[in-house]
Amino acid sequence: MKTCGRVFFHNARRLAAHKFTFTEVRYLSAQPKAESNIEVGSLSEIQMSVAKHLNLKTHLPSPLSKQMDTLGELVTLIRDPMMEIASCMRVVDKTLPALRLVLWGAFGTGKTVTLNQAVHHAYTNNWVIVHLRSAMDLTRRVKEIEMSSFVPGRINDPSNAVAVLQNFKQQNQHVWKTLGELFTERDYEWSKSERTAQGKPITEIIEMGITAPFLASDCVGALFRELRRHAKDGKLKALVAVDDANSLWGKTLVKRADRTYAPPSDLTLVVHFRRLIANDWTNGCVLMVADKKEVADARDELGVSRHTPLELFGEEGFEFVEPFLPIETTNYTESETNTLYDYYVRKNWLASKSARTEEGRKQLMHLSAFNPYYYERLCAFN
Amino acid sequence: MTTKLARFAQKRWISSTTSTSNMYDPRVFREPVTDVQELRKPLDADDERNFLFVKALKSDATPVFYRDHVIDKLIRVCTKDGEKETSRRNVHSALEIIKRRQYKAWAKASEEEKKGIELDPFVIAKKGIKNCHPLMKLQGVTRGGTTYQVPFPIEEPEAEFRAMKMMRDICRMRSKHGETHFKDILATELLAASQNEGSTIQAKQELHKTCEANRAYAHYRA
Repeated sequence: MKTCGRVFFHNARRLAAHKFTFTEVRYLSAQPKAESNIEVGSLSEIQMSVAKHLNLKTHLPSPLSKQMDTLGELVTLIRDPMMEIASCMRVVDKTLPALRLVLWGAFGTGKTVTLNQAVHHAYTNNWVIVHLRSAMDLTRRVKEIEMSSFVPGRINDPSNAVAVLQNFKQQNQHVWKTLGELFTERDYEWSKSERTAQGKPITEIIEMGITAPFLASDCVGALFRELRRHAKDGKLKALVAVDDANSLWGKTLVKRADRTYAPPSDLTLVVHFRRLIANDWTNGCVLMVADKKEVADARDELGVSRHTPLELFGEEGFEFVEPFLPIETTNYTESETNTLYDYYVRKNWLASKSARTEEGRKQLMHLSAFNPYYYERLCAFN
Repeated sequence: MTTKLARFAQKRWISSTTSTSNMYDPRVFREPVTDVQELRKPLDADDERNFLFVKALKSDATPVFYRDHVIDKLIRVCTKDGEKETSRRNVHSALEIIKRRQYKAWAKASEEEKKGIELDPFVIAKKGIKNCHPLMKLQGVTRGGTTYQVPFPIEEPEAEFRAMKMMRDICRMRSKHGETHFKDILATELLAASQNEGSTIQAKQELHKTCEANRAYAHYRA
């Protein structure tokens, strides 16, 4: 099975490499319209209305969302990883199992930004978007817990579940009408009084979860289940974007009644997201970020932890997500820094005189060591 | 317990003396050249550095393009417990906040208003500190068992230091318990001071007033 999967991914990559026009019958996306305006090394603007619609303010890294607020526009650089994701998304098909991509790279090289660009790309192609800001929220930032009534031993997380549903609702307004025309497969009996009958629109599940937080965790599972089924039937294409996805196999801070920490496999939401990542469904793309904040100690300033997928996902997680396409994010090249420098000068963002000189341009490049995060930080106060 | 001891040993406790010995023997070590343009030129024939050792470059003297005397001094003044890195981050973030505020105002302004808005945070910070320079200082002088607060004239570098110290104390007083942050208050204070407003300017005027009131003690000088 595994080698078979590898062969498939090899082929998928080759397919993605050359231009591929598909004449598929009825997708949510009528045409892959956004592909024409994506060009590597160019600056692309995301309209503020779209950024608001996709709630990018909370999903982007904080310096960039601050920048969005200050400059009044969201302009990002299209880089190689984004091109690779776009070409992979182009080959996604009803006959192929969900394509799994793992973004990995050193700190500050643009994993999250690329993920957000991919979400925007999915939006322009009218895909359904399941976007998780950080999987670490599900394991380490659990405010309240409830024991599941559906599976004994499972732990529900009402506040995060409601947040997931609300975020799903906000980000999918562009396909909301189509989602309303897709129907549930079976009866869902949430509690003694609440139920969703067979043949109801799946948006009802979402509304149910938002209004009744104690049912939200189960609603998330049902929603994902229905999404997978409808994707398999070719009624929609879905992008699952999970930031810090390796945290789904990491540590948790949720305590059980006997005061031991619950493993992540006991958390309902984690289980549901894992099922979404499993490629037993078709017509979708799963984009994950392997981030070292799961394993790195924030107070340890000397130790350098690895940032490769195997080290971050751990053996269990790696077994689960295999086979996948690793996509590495790297530091800027000189031409990329020049593009950004020119943009900052054009926008009058580089305010000090010394930064606008040739010497300043060179120093910015080398002081940041071509790292996108530090480059932005240096430009922020100059 | 051991960590507590280690902390105690790490930080300088009360020290009122200057260091008597140095890792650099003054007979064989000379100051390094910090300016890049200077560095490209050959040394003079009679320069001692031709045949003596040169001290290592200090971490805050690296020839980066944003090197600025006032900002560096402000970083040193705001340093607490020897954590200069933290202080640098604070001051640079304050500059960033100033720039963001000014940029937003600039983006909203009309064409002719835009010319009047300064975007460079370094210029604003320098102007703010300059506006806070006091003209006199008060120093205790004991005569006949009574201590009088006597006004003294001060030199430019000391005025600069006192301006920074006043500002730092005000910001520290307000940024307590993690509710408000030093960088935010410092940014507000610098911006206000650059327009001759704010608590630091008030403190300066208060000082001037006390100096004026204590004018009669001036003869206790010397």
